[in-house]
Amino acid sequence: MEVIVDILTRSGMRSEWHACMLAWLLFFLPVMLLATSRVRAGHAVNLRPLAGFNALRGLSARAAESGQTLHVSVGVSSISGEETAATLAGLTVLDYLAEQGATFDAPPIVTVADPTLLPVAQDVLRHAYARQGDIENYDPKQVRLISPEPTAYAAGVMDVLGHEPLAANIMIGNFGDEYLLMGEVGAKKGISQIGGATNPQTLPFVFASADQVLIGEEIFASGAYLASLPAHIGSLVAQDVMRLLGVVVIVFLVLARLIGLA
Amino acid sequence: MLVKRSVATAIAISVGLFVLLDFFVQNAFIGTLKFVFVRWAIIVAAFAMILGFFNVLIVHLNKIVRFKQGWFYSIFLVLTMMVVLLLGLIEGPQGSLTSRIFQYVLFPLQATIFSLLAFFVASAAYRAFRLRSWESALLVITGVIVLLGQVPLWGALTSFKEWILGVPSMAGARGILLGVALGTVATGLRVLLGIDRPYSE
Repeated sequence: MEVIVDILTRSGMRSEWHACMLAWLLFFLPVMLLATSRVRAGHAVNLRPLAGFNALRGLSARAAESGQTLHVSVGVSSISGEETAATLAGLTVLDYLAEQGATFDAPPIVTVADPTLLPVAQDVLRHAYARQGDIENYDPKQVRLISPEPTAYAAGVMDVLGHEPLAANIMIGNFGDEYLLMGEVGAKKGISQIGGATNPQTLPFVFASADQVLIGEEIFASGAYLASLPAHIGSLVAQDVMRLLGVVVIVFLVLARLIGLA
Repeated sequence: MLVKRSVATAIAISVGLFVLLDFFVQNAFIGTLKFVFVRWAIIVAAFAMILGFFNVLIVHLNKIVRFKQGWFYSIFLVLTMMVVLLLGLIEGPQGSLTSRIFQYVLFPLQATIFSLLAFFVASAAYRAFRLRSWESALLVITGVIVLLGQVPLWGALTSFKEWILGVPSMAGARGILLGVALGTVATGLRVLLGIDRPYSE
């Protein structure tokens, strides 16, 4: 690893730190591709049960039976930025719920905070209806832009949670403190809530208000759990390998520092 | 359809790779190219804002026409939106009247909504601190220690609070952040490789 970092640093990297990050990335990529190809070849991967994803299954059917609908939020970030990955994780969950909603004719109400997410979320919903061969029932108004300001967005969602007939509220993505404003309204109305966030400062709010919580990286596993996508399962395997490697490196460095080697 | 999809994917992957390369490498050509791509992205985002404007308008006009619950507030929303848009078009986004609307109406309203958080934290804490399992008990005990540790009465308790926040709490947060970083890298690589296509066709 040190040799790779050295070569990368000499070949015009911004800094040694950037070289280290690129080396990490170059190691991650083949592990992920290998794991994905093994999953595609039929190699079984044991996924530990996550209550949050189990709760998502059958939600749309229950909503349709009770004549209600679901509210889905994919966070307060945009499609481009530092929190894109969390937003994409929310969109993967939306894809699953939109498909279910199209099947049972109970499309979810989707609220977005950023205008760049509006066409993407509408496209997810439209594709779900197209896959069911029911495109004429697709209504773009099911996706609503509230406001790019987190507080104003929370106020808009509080109104949706307070007045729409909802069977469940699913909020997965990047959120700040405003999560609690929305989560508490849902909790007080007795709506079943599933929340997921990556920000450690938001997680206590999610824990306090949601029935099922997806903690941190668990939200990135949505494609593997809900749709059994081989690339997503392969990613999970690669993440575990890299985590194990990280733990070994940390323990090794701590021991080296203790005995005066580093 | 397949060609259209392949071209879109190829463009997205190439642009993504150039922007990523600029993050790692210091090169004038790549830097300029990245600057151009970012400017294009800003223009595309501006068009998304126009789409957003019409979405808000259609959703609320629909609410007004059908007399749905809260239709009266939708009238206010649409009127306010039109007034602010007209003012912005006439005197520009930095105009005195537009700035005053933001300074004396929007910001105080945002602060008002955010101040509700204090009450919401109390009701959320009440629910979270209910003793249902040994984990809840641990949460209550830790919460009480941290709360009492904020009061400068018992030095030992303050030190213990600092230890809780600095060691187990920090370790947990860092563990979550490491996992999030790995998940972010995996998601980014899938998008760069064209496996995940949030940009559709």
